[in-house]
Amino acid sequence: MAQNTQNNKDPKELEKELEEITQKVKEMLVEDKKDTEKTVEEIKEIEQNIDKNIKKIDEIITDLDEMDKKAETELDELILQSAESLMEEGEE
Amino acid sequence: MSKVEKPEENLNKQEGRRRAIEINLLDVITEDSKGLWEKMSDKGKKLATNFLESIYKMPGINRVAAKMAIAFNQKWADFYEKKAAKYKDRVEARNQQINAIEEAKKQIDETITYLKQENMPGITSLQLQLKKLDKEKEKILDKKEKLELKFQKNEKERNLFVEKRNNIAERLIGYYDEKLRPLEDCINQIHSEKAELDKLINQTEARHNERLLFLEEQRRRKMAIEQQLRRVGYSDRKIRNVVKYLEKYLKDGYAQIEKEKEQLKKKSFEIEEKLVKVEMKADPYKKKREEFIRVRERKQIEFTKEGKKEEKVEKSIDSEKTEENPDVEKGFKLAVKEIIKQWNEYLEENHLNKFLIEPDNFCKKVKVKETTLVDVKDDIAKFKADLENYYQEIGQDFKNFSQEIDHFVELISKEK
Repeated sequence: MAQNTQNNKDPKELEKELEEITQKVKEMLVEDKKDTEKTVEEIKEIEQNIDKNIKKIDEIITDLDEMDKKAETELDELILQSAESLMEEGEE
Repeated sequence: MSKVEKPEENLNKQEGRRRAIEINLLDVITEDSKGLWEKMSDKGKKLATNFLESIYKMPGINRVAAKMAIAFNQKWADFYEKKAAKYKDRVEARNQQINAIEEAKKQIDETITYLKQENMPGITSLQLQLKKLDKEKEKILDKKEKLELKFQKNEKERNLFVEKRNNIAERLIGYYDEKLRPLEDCINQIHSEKAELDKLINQTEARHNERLLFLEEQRRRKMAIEQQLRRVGYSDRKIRNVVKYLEKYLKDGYAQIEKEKEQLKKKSFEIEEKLVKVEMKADPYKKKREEFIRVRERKQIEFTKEGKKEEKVEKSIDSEKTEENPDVEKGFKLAVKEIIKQWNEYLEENHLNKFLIEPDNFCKKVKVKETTLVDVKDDIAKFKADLENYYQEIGQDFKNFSQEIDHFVELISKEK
């Protein structure tokens, strides 16, 4: 039906219609670019929040590793000291 | 420290073996403990090596739990109890000697009384004997006192060991409790952010679809107008000229959407990857806490309760026998192969077939022999850790492993 309507239009009208379509698409492009920029910003924010949390997790893991190392050293010393004192006792 | 210079060949061999053990153990203990190790006697090092040797094959992440398990191990209690029993026996032997002296003194006293009554000679020499016995008794009492002091020292050391060990365990678990909560919060936060991202992606996709429809509609309209213009006599060149901007914008529109789609896909993948990585990183720490708690719950050492001493001494003699001959089976021991068989049966019964274990593969991976005996009471924590490591190594995420293995152990313990 649109085609039938267009059949009746003269070339100038058709060219004008083309210009309108061009304008609409151009506007859409501008709008889409804005939306894309907004989305990029939002994603950036999400990613920053995720990275912040990952950083926090890394810090916690570093603390836990340090605690592990400390506990491991204490356990080593406990085990070694006990082994030595048991041997000393045995020799007495 | 080094004895390599000794000429005897067998001594060199022994020294070589000892040094090899020492080198291995130096890989296991922390840098800060190495100073203490250097100061230890060879015998002390050998004993410590015996305790710590199971750690050689442990992956790094479970090492602190393995050391904690060693500190909680019955072997320590056995050693301490053995020493305590030895001193207790020696104290009792001195008591018997003192009793014998008292008995002898009593008899001499009776003889002196008799000689006095009968007005007979020999009293002075008997009195000298009494004096000698008193001196002897004094000596024995001194020795007994020293032995009692050693016994008490041993008990004190044992108590100190257990106190220090429990402090370390409690502090570590407390610290993990304190730190794992914020860690979980961070992970949950990341999940929320990821959900937010997914929502945004869906909204953007809807926008893309809407705009693609719009572009498609404008493209169709352009084609219809082109046909019209052709019909009224426009040349192809002229048509191209009037639609060139529209064509460019349409092309840009499709390209823009396509580009954004690609970027979103890439970003979504990157964030998903970050999430997986961070969860994989945090997961062992969550499991470690559970492992520390499991080790702590295996408290087996009883201290200085007089009534329990005899029972403990019997136990230590039993374990001594087993140490001399590792093939001697105690009431509670099962071969690794048998435990795996029962574990597989348990998994099948509970519809967990995907976690079934191939014994050969398991033994190869955790470096144990199928025939190695596992004490269901004493060594099971180590076996559990091996099993957990095995699943981790083959990449199977056994979520409820902890509960399942505990339930399984409870069952086999009851069966025995």
